[in-house]
Amino acid sequence: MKRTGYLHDNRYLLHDTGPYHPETSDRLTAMYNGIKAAGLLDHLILLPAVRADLKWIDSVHSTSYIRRFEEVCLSGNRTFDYPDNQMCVDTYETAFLAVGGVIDVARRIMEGELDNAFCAVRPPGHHAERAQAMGFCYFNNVAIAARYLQQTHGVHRVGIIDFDVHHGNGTQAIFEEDPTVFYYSIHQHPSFAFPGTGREFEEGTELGYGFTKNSPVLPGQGDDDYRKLIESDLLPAFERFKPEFIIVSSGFDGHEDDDMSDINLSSAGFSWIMETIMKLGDQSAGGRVMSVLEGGYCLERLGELAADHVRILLGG
Amino acid sequence: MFVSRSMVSEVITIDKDASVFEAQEKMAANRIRHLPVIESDQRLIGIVTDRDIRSAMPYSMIKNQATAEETEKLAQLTVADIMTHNPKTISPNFTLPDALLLIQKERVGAFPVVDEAGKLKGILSVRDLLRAFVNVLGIHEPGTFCASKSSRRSAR
Repeated sequence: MKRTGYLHDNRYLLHDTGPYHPETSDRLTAMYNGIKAAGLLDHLILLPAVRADLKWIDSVHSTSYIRRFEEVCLSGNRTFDYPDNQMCVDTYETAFLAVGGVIDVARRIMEGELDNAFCAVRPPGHHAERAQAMGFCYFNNVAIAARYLQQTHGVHRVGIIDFDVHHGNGTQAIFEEDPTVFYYSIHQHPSFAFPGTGREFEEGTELGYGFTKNSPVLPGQGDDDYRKLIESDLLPAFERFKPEFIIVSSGFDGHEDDDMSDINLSSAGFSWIMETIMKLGDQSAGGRVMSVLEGGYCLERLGELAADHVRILLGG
Repeated sequence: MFVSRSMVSEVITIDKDASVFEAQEKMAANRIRHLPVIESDQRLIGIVTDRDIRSAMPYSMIKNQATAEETEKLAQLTVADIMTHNPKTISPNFTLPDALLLIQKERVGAFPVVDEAGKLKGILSVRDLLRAFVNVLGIHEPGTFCASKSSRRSAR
């Protein structure tokens, strides 16, 4: 059995999005309860949140954006940049804890304390651009972790795999000119889903051309289509790129029971995706796989999906 | 919404061994500017455009002042000599916004539409895209102004 970390901290529940928002603290509770009910909690190494050092957030986001976020949040505003970015007075601090927790987990993996991990953090991050909050996201947790890995641990090639049903426009934008970070995303086709980016011909720019790959999935499609696209698009790309560390933007909103999309992934489909990622991690990254929570809003399904997810991280 | 619904399926094509003059005549006769080049099994291998043909011609020929020698030299040229090999293609499952963004990005006038085996299924030009968006937006039909008229009325 692998040494799998589980970042879970009640302070992540403090980010209050109001009564009618899908990105609620109940998501983390449902995941925790699901993992516990499956009897997996004792096998995991439970990790607390850590507050991020500002310099890491600065490595991805503009200073003026960080200051603006702080000011808007601490002034008691309920939204930031877009009406769907609901927040409370604790959101800014919780976002620091999300980034810091993910960085701390990355450190533990690099130092050999953990083999891999699941970071159940809020707020999510993959829509957040350098100077723009979007889609419930404020700081781009995975992008900051990638920069941390490169600058602190000398990781040359970081692979990011994003299976949230929405394209991670923020992560793509941050790395699209960068050949040292390969961003792969599989998501509902942008003609039919937020945020409207992630078309298959978006392949990176400048030096980063060829280091971004998108697999849009049409509404109504599910397990077989995901399998086909991952086999044709992700596997050969990562076999060439040979990432030394894999960060997974894990979104469970493509589940057939999740109202947030028209994609029909089954629970078994999610397991196949994660098993495939673990094989990729073993091939080139020495098993160093860090999964970071993005979306997934079906509270009735999140417990089971999280349990399956960590079971695969533990080695089945 | 999908390219398969808006592309031209009855595609006029040409063989790679055809002469440049033959390609020119085919374009003129059919009033088109793009000719996909296919193998006998319908597999796309290139595309030739009116611009490719113009570029291949000496200036004197465009001005109808070519010498017999220049004409003879051009007659030896085949489509394979001037076509774009392995052109950018799209899938029938692309959406119209996909095609619109890609045509803007690639700065081409048309995309051959091919299936997974690389076989030609159609062609989508800027003109086809314009027609598709006119249809999608319904701006060729009566009724478009109803909403704005009523909203102006209610605003008073």
